[in-house]
Amino acid sequence: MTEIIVVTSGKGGVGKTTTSASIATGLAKRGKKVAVIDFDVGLRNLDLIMGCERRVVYDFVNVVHGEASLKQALIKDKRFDTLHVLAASQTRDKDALTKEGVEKVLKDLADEGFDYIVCDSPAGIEKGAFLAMYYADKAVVVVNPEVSSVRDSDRILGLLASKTKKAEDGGRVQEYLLLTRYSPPRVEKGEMLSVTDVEDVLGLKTIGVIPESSDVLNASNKGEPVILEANSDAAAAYEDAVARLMGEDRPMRFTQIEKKGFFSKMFGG
Amino acid sequence: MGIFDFLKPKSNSAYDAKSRLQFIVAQQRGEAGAPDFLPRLRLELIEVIRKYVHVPEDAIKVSKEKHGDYDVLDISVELPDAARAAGDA
Repeated sequence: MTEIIVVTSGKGGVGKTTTSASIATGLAKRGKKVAVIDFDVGLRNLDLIMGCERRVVYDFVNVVHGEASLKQALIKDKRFDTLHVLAASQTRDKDALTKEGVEKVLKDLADEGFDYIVCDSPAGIEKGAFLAMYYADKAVVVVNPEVSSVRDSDRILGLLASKTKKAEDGGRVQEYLLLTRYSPPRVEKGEMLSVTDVEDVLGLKTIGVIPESSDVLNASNKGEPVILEANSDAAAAYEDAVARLMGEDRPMRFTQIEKKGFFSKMFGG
Repeated sequence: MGIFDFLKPKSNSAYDAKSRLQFIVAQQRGEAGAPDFLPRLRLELIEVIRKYVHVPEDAIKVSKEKHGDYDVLDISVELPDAARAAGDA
């Protein structure tokens, strides 16, 4: 059975692509056959985050239009044999994707024996975002602990519950919350919404909390999914999220302030 | 956290953020799942109620809410003080 996971958020810049790349890589690292698709036609980014931008010859739109086969367009990851990237087109307009076209690509991937298809949604609630979520079994809603991001993600949750195939068939897309750029010290000071606050507002359970970390930018500079960074809290947090997505039960980490020594407590650190 | 931190004013903007969001989300969800007839229903209700009491336009709130498995049509009418007094007499 192929599982389709959409990574979505509504608001831009909250970490959808970073999350898509890390989740896809994490799943592949666990031996699963994974395809990660960039739905952001016109503004592709996933190829950069995955570090395969120079190997893009054909893209998602080419496949949808029958100008290239799926095999030609799928870019095999250099780190994991079972990980494949389908890049978005840079040049075409947003209407280049159609529901039928997307359905066919997803079906062909399923026939190829892929275990997971990760759909990296564009920001907004336009066609691209709609198509990215339409066929999803699960949705990872990426949220920053910040008012506009939380409000937008609630709009997305509304769409997931009404404008998806699952919803139309009377079912439900399984939704998960993933908090990014989380800063426990700021939460402690009352400057930032806590995990519980966001869960309360959205009525959703959290699958992962990614701490604010310079590793995310470092990883994207290098073209490496942050989950592969050594000794990184962000990487460990993504590992946990992937494990939970696969049904493992793991305690939440990096949501509390690290214990400080006596001196920094006394004199500020 | 230094020993003189208590001198700084305490801010808790996260609390404000949460209460604002709870309001917005409740409203957003009400609108999203709400049937189209709610605005018209609200206008007609105002007309009917105004036959008996004069209430301002914003005194009537109609929304659809979810209580567990049930959809509840929530209609609240706020009566002005004067009308209440007149009613008592």
